[in-house]
Amino acid sequence: MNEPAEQEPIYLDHAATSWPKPPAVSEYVVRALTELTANAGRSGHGPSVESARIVFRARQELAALLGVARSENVVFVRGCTEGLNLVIKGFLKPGATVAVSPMEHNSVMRPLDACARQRAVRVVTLPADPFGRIDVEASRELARTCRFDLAVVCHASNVNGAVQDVRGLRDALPDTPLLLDAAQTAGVLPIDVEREGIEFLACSAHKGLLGPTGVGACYLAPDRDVAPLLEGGTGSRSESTEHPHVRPDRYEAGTLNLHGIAGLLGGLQSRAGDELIGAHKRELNQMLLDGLLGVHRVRVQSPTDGTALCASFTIDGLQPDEIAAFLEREHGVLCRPGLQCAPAAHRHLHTFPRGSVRISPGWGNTLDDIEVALTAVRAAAKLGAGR
Amino acid sequence: MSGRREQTRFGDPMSADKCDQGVVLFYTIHAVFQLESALRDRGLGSKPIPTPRHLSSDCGTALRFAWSHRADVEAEIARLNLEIQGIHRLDE
Repeated sequence: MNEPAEQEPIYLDHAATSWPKPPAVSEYVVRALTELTANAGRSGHGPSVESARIVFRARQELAALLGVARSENVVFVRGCTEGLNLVIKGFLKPGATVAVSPMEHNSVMRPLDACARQRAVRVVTLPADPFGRIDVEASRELARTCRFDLAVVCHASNVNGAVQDVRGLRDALPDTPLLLDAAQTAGVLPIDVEREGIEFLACSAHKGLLGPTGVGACYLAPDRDVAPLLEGGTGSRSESTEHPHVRPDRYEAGTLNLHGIAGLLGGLQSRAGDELIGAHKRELNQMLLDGLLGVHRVRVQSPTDGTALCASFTIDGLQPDEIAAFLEREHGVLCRPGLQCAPAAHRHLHTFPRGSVRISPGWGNTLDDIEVALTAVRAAAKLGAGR
Repeated sequence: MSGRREQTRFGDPMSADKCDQGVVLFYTIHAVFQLESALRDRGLGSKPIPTPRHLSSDCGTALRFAWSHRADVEAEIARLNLEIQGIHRLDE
């Protein structure tokens, strides 16, 4: 076994989850666990009502951040994956045609694959550039001959950080409902779902929103009917065995993850105004990419124009998992190798099946962290030169 | 966030007699807070309470208010486009 690195670990895996969390996140979680909280909205007594108020406040704050006027259209789920499943399985009818970007995560491709098998849903990949960014004009042309019932697009790729032109896509497919996978961008880049005409959005609490795992949210446009994934107790209309139709209860059967939602509220309240972390991420990531471009034997799969949110690269002669293990062991740099649960994206980037190494800076990282990461990659590249 | 101390100061903004109070019944507790927040912005107190069993078999939460504010309450419900089960005077 290899000895662990002596230096402090440098966390550069923010595309997987953010770390550290703002102090308010743990404070709110601890208070929800240790003070008298109850099952939110179930009992009518004080602690139950106050627990429901925590949920209400988190919903209000998140709705405001996402540009949602009526917060009942933001529903809490277990994570981004559940939100994506909710829309894909609750909205698509048998025989539907779905447009996707070539960069979709398995949280989109697997439920679509299930719908293709069970409901004869057809999936069409939109034309894109070599980094996976949708070609808006070519998509507009495609839409003239192909009617789409839904478009599912990851706002930013979890593999190479490429950001999609949502407004351009909205303009190219004006009649197609759009589901935006905002796993990498909620709390990171500006999102205004109602102004931009986005019908559906799914995100997790634990990435750019800086909250805990186990909580996500889904925006459902008020005029779009989506069948719920679950039916059950909601604390409302208890006299009826018919599941309620009113939002948000319709999509929140069962006891909510109050402690996780409290942590999300802490993360949301840690922001100064509408502060987003995208500019900081992009600055660090571009510095990283600029450095990677100058390393012999390193191949970069991310856009290098200052827009990418994370960096994907390979080193000739080395496997991605070898590189990641070396970076951690010798330099304490924590990153993610492999396919990052997005084989479709790697096929597009021609890095399938080996995958790549992903380094993803976040809100707590500094320029010094990037310098250490670059030093580590340069050392790894020398290692690969001997192969 | 709430705790036991919060519960003890779960203050009733209306100390008037029961016969001076009304209650709004909703289909979701989310709407209870929406109306409570809107009334607070207008300087009007209200209080979430367990849905009175003699008014509904629902086990949810209702919003109690001073009956003298009924017109304001109805105006806010209309402005917010809230779906409600009904408004009742508590001595009915």
